[in-house]
Amino acid sequence: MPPKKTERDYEYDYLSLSYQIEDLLQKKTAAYSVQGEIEQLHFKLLDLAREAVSAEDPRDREYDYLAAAYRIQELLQQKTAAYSLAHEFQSMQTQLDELGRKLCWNRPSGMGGPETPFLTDRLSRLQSEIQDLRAALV
Amino acid sequence: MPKAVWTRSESEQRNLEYNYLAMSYQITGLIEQRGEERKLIGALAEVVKEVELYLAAESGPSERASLAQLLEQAAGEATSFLRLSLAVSEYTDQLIRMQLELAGLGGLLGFERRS
Repeated sequence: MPPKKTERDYEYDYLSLSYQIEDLLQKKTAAYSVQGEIEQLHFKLLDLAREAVSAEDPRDREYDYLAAAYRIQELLQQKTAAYSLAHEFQSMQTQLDELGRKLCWNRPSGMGGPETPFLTDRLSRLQSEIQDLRAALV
Repeated sequence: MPKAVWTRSESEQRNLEYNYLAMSYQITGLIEQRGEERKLIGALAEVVKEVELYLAAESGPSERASLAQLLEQAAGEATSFLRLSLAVSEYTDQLIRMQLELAGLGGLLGFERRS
């Protein structure tokens, strides 16, 4: 039987999950940031196709067209993969809520009065841990 | 003039991007096929050239003449067939039609030309 988790363990899990969510959000943001490049390539495709149709020897334009089209396909596939991250995000968020409940961080506001210092103490400890970790990463 | 702005759900956006991707695959397939056809014509022309060189170097005059004529005829027919196939393959029309569809999808996705 695994040993019962302490509040400290739950806090550690919470922190670890927060980092995973942050990482996921960064991935999703990165996938959306390719929109500008897709637009630019789209218009390059339109220009190249027009030139290829009227050129006597369109081979160079066709090669350029294929290169641009392959890149757009790659970027759109990245975006498609990012859409599926939403499910992963929801699942992590649920786990985070669950941990929050275990740590009693989601009490109704009317009941929170006497517990507030207790909660603030934990949050402040978490904040210092985050700061320490960030400092270690710099 | 104020620009028309509308919003669409993520699933609509996804569907449009999917259609764009599918159309893009069709167009690249068409262009790749065209490239293959060109390669085939080039290869045939190369065969004709090699046969001509061989005949010029190794055979007697009468053999060379008849063999050359036969091979030239065969290669010429193959090349003509391929050229005809390229000419009637509606490649250009297909490319223009697909490209217009792609441009339309780009418009629906809100792509804007930036100077």
